[in-house]
Amino acid sequence: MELDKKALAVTRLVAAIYEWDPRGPSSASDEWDKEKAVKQLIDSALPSEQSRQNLIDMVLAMTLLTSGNVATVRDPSSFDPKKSKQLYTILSSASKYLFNCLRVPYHQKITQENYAAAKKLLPIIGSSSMLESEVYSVFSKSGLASTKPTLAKHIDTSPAKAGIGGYDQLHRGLSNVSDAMVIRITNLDKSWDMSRGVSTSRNYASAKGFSMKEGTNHVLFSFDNPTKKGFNALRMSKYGKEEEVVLSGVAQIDNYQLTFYAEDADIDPNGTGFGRNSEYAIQITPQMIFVRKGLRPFFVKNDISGQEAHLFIKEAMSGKPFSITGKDGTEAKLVCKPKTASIEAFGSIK
Amino acid sequence: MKLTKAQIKQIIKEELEQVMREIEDEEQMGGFDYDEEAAEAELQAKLAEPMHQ
Repeated sequence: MELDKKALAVTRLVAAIYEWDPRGPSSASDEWDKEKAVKQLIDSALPSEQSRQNLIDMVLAMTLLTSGNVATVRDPSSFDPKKSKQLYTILSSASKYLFNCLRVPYHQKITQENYAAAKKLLPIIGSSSMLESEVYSVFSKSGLASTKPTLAKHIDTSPAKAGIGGYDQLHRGLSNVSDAMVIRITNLDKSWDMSRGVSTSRNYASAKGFSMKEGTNHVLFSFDNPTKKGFNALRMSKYGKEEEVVLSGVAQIDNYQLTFYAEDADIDPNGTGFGRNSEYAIQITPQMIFVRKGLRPFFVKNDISGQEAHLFIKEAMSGKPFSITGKDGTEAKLVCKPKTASIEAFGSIK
Repeated sequence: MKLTKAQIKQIIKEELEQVMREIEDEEQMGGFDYDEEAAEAELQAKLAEPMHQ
C-alpha cells in the first residue's frame, strides 16, 4: 500500500480550513465559504475517485485509532458486529464536515473491513513525512490562495502553520505502569518498535497530564522528530484538545530523569518503630545516581555510563534488597517502594 | 442498624479494594525477576492504547 501524498496534504489543509474564520456577514455564509473552499481543494488536488477514497481511508483510520475500538484496530478478527456503532458517533465535527463534502454515508455502521483497512494504513500514515512546501504546493495549485486570500493568511500566520509542515517534537504520557516497564525504558541500548502507529501529542502539557492521570508510575516521553513524521489528527480527531499526532517508527531513548523511592530493608515494614523507617529518594540519569536520605544527600555517583545506570535501576527497582555505601561510609541496605517512580524520557523516532 | 443497599455495596467495594491492595503488596514482597521481553511487550501494549483511555 503506497502513501497518497496529495491526500495527506489535503487532510492537513482541511484541518486548517475548518479553523479558518472567513469573517463573512453571517455564520451561515462562513460555513458556506469553508465548504466551498474544501470542495475547491478536493476537486483540484484529488480529481479521481481513488484519490478521494484514499483521503477517506486516512481519516477513517485515524478516527478508528483515536475514538474507535483500539483492540479491534490491532486485531480486526475480534470485530463484533453487534457492538458496532454508526460511524458518525465517533467522528469529530471537522471530519463530519469533510465527509459531508465527500458525501460519505457516515450513518452506516462501522465494518470489520474498515478496521482491517485502518490496521494496514496506520503504519503508513504514521510514518509519513511531508514538507511544508509540499502542502503549500497543493494549496497553491488549488487556486485558493488567490480566491480566498484570508484563508491563505490564516494558514500562513496562525498556529495551523506548524501543523502544515508537521512537528519536530512529539510527546506521550503513560500512567499506572509496572516497575518492570520503567526498567525497560532505561535500557538505552535497545530501541523498540512502534510501527503499528501510536497516539502522541504535539502538546507537552497535554501529554504530561496523561502521565499523571491515573496511579503511579508516571511516564512522559518526548521524542525528537527531525523528519516531522506523523499523521496530524489534531482537530480532525474527536479528542481535538489532545492535539494528537499518529506516529509510527522505531523509538530510541537517549536520556531520562528517573525518580523513585526506597526505604531501609531491615526495618519493620509496617513502620511501627517511630522515626526508624528512613525514606530514600533515588534520582537517576544515564550519567548520574543521586540518593537522598530524608532531606540530606546520602550518595552520589557521577560520570557513569548508561549501562551502569540501567543495571543499578534493574537491581534496585526489582524490589529485592540492595546495598549502597553513603558519603559518610555507612552502608545502607535498601528496598525499593513499589510503584513510586516518575520518569521523563527523551529520545527520537527513526 | 439497617444498612442501605448502597452502603452495603460501598463496604464490599472498600473491603475488596483493601484485599486487592494486600495481595498486590504480598506479591511485591521479595521483589520480582525482571523479564525484558515481557516489560517491552507491556510498553508496546500501553503505547498502543489511546491517550484518553
